[in-house]
Amino acid sequence: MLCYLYPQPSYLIFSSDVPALLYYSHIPTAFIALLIAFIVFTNAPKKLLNRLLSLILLSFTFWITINLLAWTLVQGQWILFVWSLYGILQAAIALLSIYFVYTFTRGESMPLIQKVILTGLMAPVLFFAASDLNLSGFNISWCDAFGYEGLIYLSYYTALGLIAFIWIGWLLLQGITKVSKLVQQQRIVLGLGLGSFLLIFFGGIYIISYLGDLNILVNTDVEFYTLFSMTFFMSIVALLIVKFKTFNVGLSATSALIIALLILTASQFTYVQSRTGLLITAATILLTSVLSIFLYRAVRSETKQREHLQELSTKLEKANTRLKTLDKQKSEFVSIASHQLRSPLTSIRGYASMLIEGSFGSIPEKAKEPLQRIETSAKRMALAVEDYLNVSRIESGNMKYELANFNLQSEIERICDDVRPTALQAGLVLLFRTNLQSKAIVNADIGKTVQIAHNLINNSIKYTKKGTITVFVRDDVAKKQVYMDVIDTGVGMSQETMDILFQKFSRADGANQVNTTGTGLGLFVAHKMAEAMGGDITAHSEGEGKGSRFTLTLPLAM
Amino acid sequence: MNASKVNKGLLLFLCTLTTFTILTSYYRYVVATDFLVSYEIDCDPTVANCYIGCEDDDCSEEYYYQEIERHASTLLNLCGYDISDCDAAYTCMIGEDDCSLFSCDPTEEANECAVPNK
Repeated sequence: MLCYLYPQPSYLIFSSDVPALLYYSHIPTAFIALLIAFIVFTNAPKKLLNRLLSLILLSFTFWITINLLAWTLVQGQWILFVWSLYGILQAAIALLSIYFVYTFTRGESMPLIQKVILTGLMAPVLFFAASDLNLSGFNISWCDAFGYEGLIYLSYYTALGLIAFIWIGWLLLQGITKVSKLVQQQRIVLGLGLGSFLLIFFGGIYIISYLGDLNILVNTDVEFYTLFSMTFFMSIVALLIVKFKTFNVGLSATSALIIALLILTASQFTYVQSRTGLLITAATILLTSVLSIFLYRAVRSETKQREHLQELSTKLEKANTRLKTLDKQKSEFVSIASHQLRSPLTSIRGYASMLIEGSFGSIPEKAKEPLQRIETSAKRMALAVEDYLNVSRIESGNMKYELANFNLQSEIERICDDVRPTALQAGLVLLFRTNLQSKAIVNADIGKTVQIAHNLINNSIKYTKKGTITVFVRDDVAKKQVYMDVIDTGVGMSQETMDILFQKFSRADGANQVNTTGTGLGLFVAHKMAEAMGGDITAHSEGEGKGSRFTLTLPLAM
Repeated sequence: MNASKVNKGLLLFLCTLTTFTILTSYYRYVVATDFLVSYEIDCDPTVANCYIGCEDDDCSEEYYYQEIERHASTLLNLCGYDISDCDAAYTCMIGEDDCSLFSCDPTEEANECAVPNK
């Protein structure tokens, strides 16, 4: 059934009798849709969202292709065949769009019942596509089938577009207030792109078909303009790719956009016919190509840097996790080992003490000193083990604090009395002073507080060769805090030492010359304990050789 | 039946139906040419009511025509695919089913007709 009034096309689609706008609206749009479908699919072929978008774009590309053929072919039977597929493709675009937006918003596949509904909506379009309800004839003089389109069939698949528009709107708006601002932006952008495409494409095609059928609209090439809605949707997809990384597309997205830009510019050759127009288009495409190269290079550089940073970040995260695991394992090991050491140490200390006291009879005089050394060393070792155990408990979160109100002043005074003989033995003067507005009642674990105070005062004794150690208890009722200062005239500290003072195993430069038995854990444990009780420990020194001041702060119980 | 099987079933149903529909459509329109065709035929306004058509967009030159509608397969048997040089295309054959000749109806407002002078 040859449309004898129209010329035969060359290469199926090139005809002298069709508007040049046909090629401008169809070919670049189809290429861009196909290109983006390809890129989105190949970047994540197993991702449902990417598959669905690719299917929508493929359906649309197929629609454009058969529409182009319907415009250029002159064999009636072939025109009718491709014309009969419009409904199937439009229905597929509408229903796939719903599925796509569902997956986009929910991040998962649609429930079975909704898939059944979509299949049910699609089935009539497929069942009746080859029947008179769709197309019953062909006008050879006009070379079209507008007068033979079934209004019910046409209205049905157009209504699917409208249903898709409403359904998609509902999916995008549902729970939009509960999602992050970034997701809100993505939803708005997608809704704008896909919604306007569905409305313009389906509405435009229906109105043109309806008016063409009634012979009211003779010039049906206005339908070309509806296709530009897909170009708009493609721009939105490009925005989602580049800005929101929605489809896991990296540098290739930029390549795609550049190619799309070039296709769009180059496609003007199909539309522009004047010599000046051709020259301007040629100059534009040259300029676009140069700019595209710069853009591509800039984005490639940025992408490489970002990927490198991402890689480093991932490695760092893995290393951090590994370190945490190792640290935990270490703490567990120290805990087990320390418990195993404590029992024999207790025996060593006990029996050494009993031997010295003569519980097993008199011992030779020259054996007494070695026995005393055994006892002292065992005591030091027990203290070190206690430090390790404390660190282990703190790091595993197993340190228990029994908070109660007690008088800090009397506790510190008692400790000073206990420690004073040791200070005197070292040739030091230990003074105790107070300046209190309150009764100095604190809410803390008394055992831990005593341990901290002992640690700070003993440290001062160890690191002071001569002079005075002053223990000063004061309060600040306005700030609801009580302070215990331990001020000495000892070796002092540099700023570098103070910076690392409360870290595990940190010891000041030259500390070994003054105190050989320290583990570097005492201040770490004391600091952690003070913090856990709502207090703090700070250190201050004017410099090496200028003494130090350590301050324990605890909250005042009201 | 689990959801995965139903999903596959739906997909299979859709794919099968789509393939079947496309093949049916191809058979109907391309192979069997089972559809109606209509086209304009020359008309003499001195003997029949003719539609008035324009040769170009400006309608600087008019022509007169009637419309004929018949089954495509019949036309194919009579003239082949190209009807431009086929006399049988311009009239309904005696005993031909589903062949109608449409003349312009001047009583319809939308029609612009050239009618014979009485």
